[in-house]
Amino acid sequence: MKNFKKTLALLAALALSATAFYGCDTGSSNAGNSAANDGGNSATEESKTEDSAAGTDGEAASGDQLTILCWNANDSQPMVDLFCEKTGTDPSLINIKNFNVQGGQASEQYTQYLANADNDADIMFLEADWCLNFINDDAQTLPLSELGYSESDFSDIYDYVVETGKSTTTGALKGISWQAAAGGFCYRDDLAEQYLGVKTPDEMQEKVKDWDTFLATAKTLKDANGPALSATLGGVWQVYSGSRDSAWVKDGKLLVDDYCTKYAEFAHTLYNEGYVTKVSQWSPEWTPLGQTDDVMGFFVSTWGFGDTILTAAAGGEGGATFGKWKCVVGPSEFYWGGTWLAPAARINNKELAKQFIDFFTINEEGATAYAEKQGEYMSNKKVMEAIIAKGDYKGAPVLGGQNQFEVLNKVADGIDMKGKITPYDAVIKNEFSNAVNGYCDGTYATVDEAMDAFKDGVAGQITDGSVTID
Amino acid sequence: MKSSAQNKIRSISYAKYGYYFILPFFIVYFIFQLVPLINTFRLSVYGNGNFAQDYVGMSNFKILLFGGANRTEAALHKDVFNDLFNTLILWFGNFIPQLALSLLLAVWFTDINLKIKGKTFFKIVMYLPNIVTAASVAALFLMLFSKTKYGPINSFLIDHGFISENDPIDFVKGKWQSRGVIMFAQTWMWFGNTMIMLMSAIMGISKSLFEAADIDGANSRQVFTKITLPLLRPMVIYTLVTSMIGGLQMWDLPYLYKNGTAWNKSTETIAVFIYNKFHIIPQNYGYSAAASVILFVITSALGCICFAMNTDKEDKKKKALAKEQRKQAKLQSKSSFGGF
Repeated sequence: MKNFKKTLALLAALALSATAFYGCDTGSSNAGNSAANDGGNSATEESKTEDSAAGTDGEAASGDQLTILCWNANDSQPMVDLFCEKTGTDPSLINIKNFNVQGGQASEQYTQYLANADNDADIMFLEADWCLNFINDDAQTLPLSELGYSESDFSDIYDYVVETGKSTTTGALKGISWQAAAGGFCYRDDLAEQYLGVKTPDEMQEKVKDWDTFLATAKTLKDANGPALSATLGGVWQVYSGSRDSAWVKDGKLLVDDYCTKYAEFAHTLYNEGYVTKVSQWSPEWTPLGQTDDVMGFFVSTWGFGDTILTAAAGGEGGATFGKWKCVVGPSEFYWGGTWLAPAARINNKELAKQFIDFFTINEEGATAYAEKQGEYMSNKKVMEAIIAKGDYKGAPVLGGQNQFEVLNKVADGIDMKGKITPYDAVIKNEFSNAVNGYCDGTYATVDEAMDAFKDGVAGQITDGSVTID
Repeated sequence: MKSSAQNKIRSISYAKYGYYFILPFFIVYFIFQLVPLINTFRLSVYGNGNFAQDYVGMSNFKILLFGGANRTEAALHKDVFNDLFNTLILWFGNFIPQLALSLLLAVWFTDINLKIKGKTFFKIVMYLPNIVTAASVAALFLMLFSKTKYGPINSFLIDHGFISENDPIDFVKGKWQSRGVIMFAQTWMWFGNTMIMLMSAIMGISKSLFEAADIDGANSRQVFTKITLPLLRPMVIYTLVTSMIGGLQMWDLPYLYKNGTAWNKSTETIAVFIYNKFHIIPQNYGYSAAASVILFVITSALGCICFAMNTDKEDKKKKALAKEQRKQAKLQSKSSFGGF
């Protein structure tokens, strides 16, 4: 009995101290908004414990280590593994600081981590949506020229990848991606033949070569009581947003122009005529649509051919429609996501950092090795063309023999982002698509009402007065 | 003469060990509750985004409560009031059915005349939803109520001819549909918990009262309105206060019950507003903190009203009566003195 009591007391004490430490881990996000200022401290402790766990002793080592900030290890770990293997670098020289959160939350985590000047950072992984938060901030990131790069070094990299890595305030190139997340329109081969009499991807491309033909084809399908041409409005927006020919913000002013009203009407037609389904993108019933005959196509980016979108849509290997898909460029070139590498301003390991960035971008051997190992679509055009020409890679199995790289190479080459990028794009696009969705499902009766809601939405999000909205 | 050892023993105070044991709680409380609480007040008078270091006085409150000239200020003001309104709607909509349902069940389960079989089983089953995390509940309801003919509820309605195939009900984005689902889910999650609390309160009422009522021939309605309900009032008030605090801070379901990143403005609560304003870049600490303070003030005010309701009227009467009597006694003694 006495022992029992002792054990109980010990357990209680352990439980208490466990709750005390629980706070350290998630303190910043759990303890409410105002704790964020203190969050930096807990992050330090975290990184220190991780350092020591890696078998290196704290301060001395972190100065020599190449510290990579990332939000998950899906990319960083295989990259570091391959880099060390091929270049003979000692893995203990590289420290992956993994925040283990969703991409959207990483920006906040980085800011807190970097708020402490003692925290080491050499290379940062930045997601397309918010990379400009860091790239535009000279206190956080360095221009690549500081590592000894000039822009001509990246002549083999797809234009849009280089363009997105530039600061929109100074124009300096500050980040570069190893991946190109270009996307195309994937459609059901059998349905296309049945309803449209289309036999090859080239013929299909003719049917969806621009938005007018896209609409006409969708009408043909519906008139024949056929499937919706594309699965979701979200997917269409992903692509349509890439075909905007000016920046969203010009001279500090939000530009609400014909493009916006035109898309709103276009979306309204698609949605209410049944040219797309009423399912939302990323909702649970989204990908299963691919196994029904109600939908003919999905817009898919390089990373979407696997289980994320298309293979899941086909019902997995051996699924109902597995192998019945084909890929074409579609109405407009677009890219969807991607991760950029940027040197942190406090970098203390320039040589190794440059070697690392080189390896995955302009070093053809390295980029090829990584593409082959991970099946990744690299940002190096020359490498990708060589891989296509070599013919070892036969394309995603879900496409039943077509090599999507041939299509994506065309798309990535055609993406033009010059002068169209602003740091507000993610917020603006999201608010715009919300407003248009509201117009489609009848929340807003007119386009004007939807545009008003759109402006209000943006105004509520960008509160620092840097963008004028009338 | 006592030995020094004896003296020493006498001077050992065991009280300090008690303090050691409760110290961890207070440290955690201090770091994760008290400091953030005070800091929230501080942040509410500081700027937003890149101006987070600037003292701005009451301007955050002014913008949130009264709006302003430019579009951003007007939008924030509109959002706050929209969200406060939603919060109240969602709270009323889940609290009233929740209290009614749990009161009814609690009375049934504790009634000695009703011999319900498997009481424990029902109690457990009804309490279970409370154990499921809100994230799972949101996922479950999103799955069940998804718009389109593929959603289970919609496909059921379509199959039985209640609605046409081309016109599925939008339970996720529709204004009252989404509110309804959230209210229902909240009620479903919390009625078991409330029921258990009410039951314990009912069981605390002396059995002899019920027996006496029985013998006097009171029917069950009379027992309920004349005995159970009056004696249950402190517990009902307690439930009201806790549920009100929880309801005003409702965040999880309204935040999670949506598709992707599309905000649903008709279910956005004030807690979601606070979260959103803080979780965008640049972070708006000022607006978030000011909204938190506004919420704090509202919660305290409503809490005070509830407590005022809880102070027993009988008690007040008695106190007043006693006072009166003392006065009378004083007067009497005075007059008797004068008479003497």
